[in-house]
Amino acid sequence: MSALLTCQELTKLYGVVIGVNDLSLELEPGVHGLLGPNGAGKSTLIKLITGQLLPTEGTIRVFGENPWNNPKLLRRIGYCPEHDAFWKFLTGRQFVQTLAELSGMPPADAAYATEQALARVGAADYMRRPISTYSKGMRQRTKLAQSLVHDPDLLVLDEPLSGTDPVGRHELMDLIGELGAEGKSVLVSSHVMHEVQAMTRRFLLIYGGRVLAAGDVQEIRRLLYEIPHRIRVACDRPRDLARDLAAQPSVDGVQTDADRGELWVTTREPREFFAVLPELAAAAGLAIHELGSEDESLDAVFEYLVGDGI
Amino acid sequence: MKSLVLLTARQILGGRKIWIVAAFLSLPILLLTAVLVASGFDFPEEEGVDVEGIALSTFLYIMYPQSLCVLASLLYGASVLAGEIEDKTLVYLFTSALPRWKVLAGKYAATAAALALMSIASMSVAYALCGAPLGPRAWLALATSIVGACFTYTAVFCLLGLLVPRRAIPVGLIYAVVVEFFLASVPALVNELTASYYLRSLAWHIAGNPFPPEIAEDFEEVRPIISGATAPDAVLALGIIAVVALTVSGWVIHRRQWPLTEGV
Repeated sequence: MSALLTCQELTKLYGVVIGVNDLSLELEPGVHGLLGPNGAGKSTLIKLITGQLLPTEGTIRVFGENPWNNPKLLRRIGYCPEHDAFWKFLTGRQFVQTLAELSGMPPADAAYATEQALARVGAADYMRRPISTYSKGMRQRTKLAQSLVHDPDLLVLDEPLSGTDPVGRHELMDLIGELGAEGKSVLVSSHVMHEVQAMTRRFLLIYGGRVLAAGDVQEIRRLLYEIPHRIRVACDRPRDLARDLAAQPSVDGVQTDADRGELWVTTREPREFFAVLPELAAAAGLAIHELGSEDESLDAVFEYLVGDGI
Repeated sequence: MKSLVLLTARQILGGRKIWIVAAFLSLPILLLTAVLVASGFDFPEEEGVDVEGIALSTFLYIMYPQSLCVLASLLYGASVLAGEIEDKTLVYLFTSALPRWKVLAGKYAATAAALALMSIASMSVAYALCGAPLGPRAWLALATSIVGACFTYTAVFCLLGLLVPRRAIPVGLIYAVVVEFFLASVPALVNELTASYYLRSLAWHIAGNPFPPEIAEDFEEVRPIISGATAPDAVLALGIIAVVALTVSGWVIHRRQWPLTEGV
């Protein structure tokens, strides 16, 4: 079986702006999360995979074939774009069925597949309404349905969860997990790590057009573990707590801001830190009002990785 | 392909530009109605010559295939794909299993056919208001010329829209006035390079010579200069213009990377 995706020294330039930079990788079939902050190159890579762009240098192969101007291959790919794009005078049903027919399905089959796809994404209730009346979440589901309708081997989903409510997000994450379990290959991009983690354990971390890391969740976790976390603690008597924390082996550094009643802790072992913090607070008889971390966002992780020259 | 044609037809009928085209196409009807209400047609009588029929048919020819069809084709032809780019829906068409040339062909055919049908409908109303001058043959000549104009000019302006997308309308207007209006009327070889020349030839052959024999002979001496192609040659020439324009358009969209989506 051909690899799902093979890139060799793949570069895409937009004038002087780098979209993808000398990227080489090979992905096996399965569900993969494409992670990176905004502007990392995720969308460019997706456009190259779906045959919207030509590489400036290097090669890209999907199922062993070049996707540029390759309708036969595109028949095997379902693409859900990030942006909101619809023929808004159509109903959701008409929209999905039109695209099913454009993918080569006979009208009767397309009609049946459309109902199935819309039901699967939970859009059956409103499929006869014009898309112009849809909420953001409804539009996301409809876009997802059109990517599924022709039963592709590979689904390329660009930020499919953006704009969905928490319940919808959960349902769509479950659906993507189900598709993977059914043997479909899925490439799902996001800048929110925990979302992707709920759908797959295989990641591709991309930043500045380069792959920073590729592998399963354990490898990514290891990378994250090496990053020092900065944790904000709002409490009574921050100086007293800072003195006690400084003596802990899990704490690398402490800064206090007595005026604001808070302190900042730097730690490479957040689990141990969070385990010892309540004990120290109880022993000192002080109350902790708030805990927070500035290192939870993926942007911070990437900045750290890039800063270290990885 | 059928679904793409239907989609395009719905886009045309439901879009904002339809009001501009409707205004264009109602213009001859309004003019004729105004004349009829004000005074009726009052053409000088000449023995053996249907002056009224010739004048009104000529007026309708100048209004429809020579002017309004050109403008409507420019308006829609130049944006055969631009509308999809603007709405960001081209991404669905170009990532579907439909080859790009088929996307172009489907949208072109639907656009040209819709324009031709709307123009013929409007012309038929105007023709009826005129009292059907010169009978059904003249109507057929006008209808055929309208079809030829819509399919040829939509192809030409589709190519223009792909080559100079931001300036397609002004460049198209210059082309329409300079080439298809002035040069097409210049009695020299250059007029044979215009679509307008072949449309006139086609209309002339279908309508038949409306002049009585003594005048017809005089007219035949000058006619080759302004509409000298035979009907099959005219159809062939118009077909070649459309096919060449579409082939080049197909080559352009096959090679071009479109701004289908935003972001890096």
